[in-house]
Amino acid sequence: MEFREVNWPGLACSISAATIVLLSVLYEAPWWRVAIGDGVGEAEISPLNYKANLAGASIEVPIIWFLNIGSKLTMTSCAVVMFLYSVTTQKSFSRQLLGFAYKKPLLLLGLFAVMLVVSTMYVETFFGVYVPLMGTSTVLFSDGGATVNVPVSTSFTWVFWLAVVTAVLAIGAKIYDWKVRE
Amino acid sequence: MYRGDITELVTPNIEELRDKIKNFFPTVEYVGCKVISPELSLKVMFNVTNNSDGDFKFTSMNFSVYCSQHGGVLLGYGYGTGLPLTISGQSSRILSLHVIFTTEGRIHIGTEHRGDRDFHAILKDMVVVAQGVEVELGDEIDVGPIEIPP
Repeated sequence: MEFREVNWPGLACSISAATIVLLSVLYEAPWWRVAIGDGVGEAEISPLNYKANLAGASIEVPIIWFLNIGSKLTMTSCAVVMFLYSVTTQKSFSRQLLGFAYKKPLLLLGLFAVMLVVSTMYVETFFGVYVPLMGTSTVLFSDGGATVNVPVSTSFTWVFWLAVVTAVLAIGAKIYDWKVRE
Repeated sequence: MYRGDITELVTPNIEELRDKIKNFFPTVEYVGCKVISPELSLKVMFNVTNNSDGDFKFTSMNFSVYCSQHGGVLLGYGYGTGLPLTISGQSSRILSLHVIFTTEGRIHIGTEHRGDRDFHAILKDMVVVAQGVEVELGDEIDVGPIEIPP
């Protein structure tokens, strides 16, 4: 294998994908975080992990556990297959490996972004509560005679941006594939 | 099917959640109040019990005080003392409120309630900030009986 036959963006993509999986398994690293008040509630969400609690009670949705497992397997398969492709670009099966691997980070990132946007729109439409994708807002509730002002802050974590970089590298690997085949 | 009910797959256990959330909010019990002389102010005490496992923090508390017997008479304004107050999980602490009477309030008590042994005050427009959340209570809180010095 020659130096110029390695798909470097693909190799970098496989390393960052593996890093995302490791961060998820070892630290349950979220991509997006929402905090309600000062410890009233919080959620740490990514396609690979989910953790949410409200007023000290953990909110568990069984299907999310299965989705997280599926996402972990998807990202792991991307890391492994992209690595194999990157170092075997001249093999007859390499194109199939690339075809399998490069869409995975895009798919996860895209589904995650769509899910976030749809969820926040759903909450705003049906509950009248505006939750920003990034930033702080105050949610106003009225119950009986009481009025409650709840600060809600949300943020993307650096792991989300690593996932964006991984997706960009996956596209880069696809483009760079034309070059290594010349 | 998931545990015999497919909807359980996509929804959290609401009953369990409701029970746990209920414990998050502390229970408040009126303990008593006393007039502090000579400048005539009032100290109101509540016993606050945190039934949850985590800490609960009161940051600020403000309210107005009215005469219970003469509903429209504003006696003064009050605030929480010793705040921020953090109550550890599964424990209780006394929350003290300090009321400062206005000149009109002082005159009203001096003329209408001097020597009363069963004086009641109403706490209204209470704004409580706890755990970073601001709550404007719509309910009125009756405190008393308060012994007014002769």
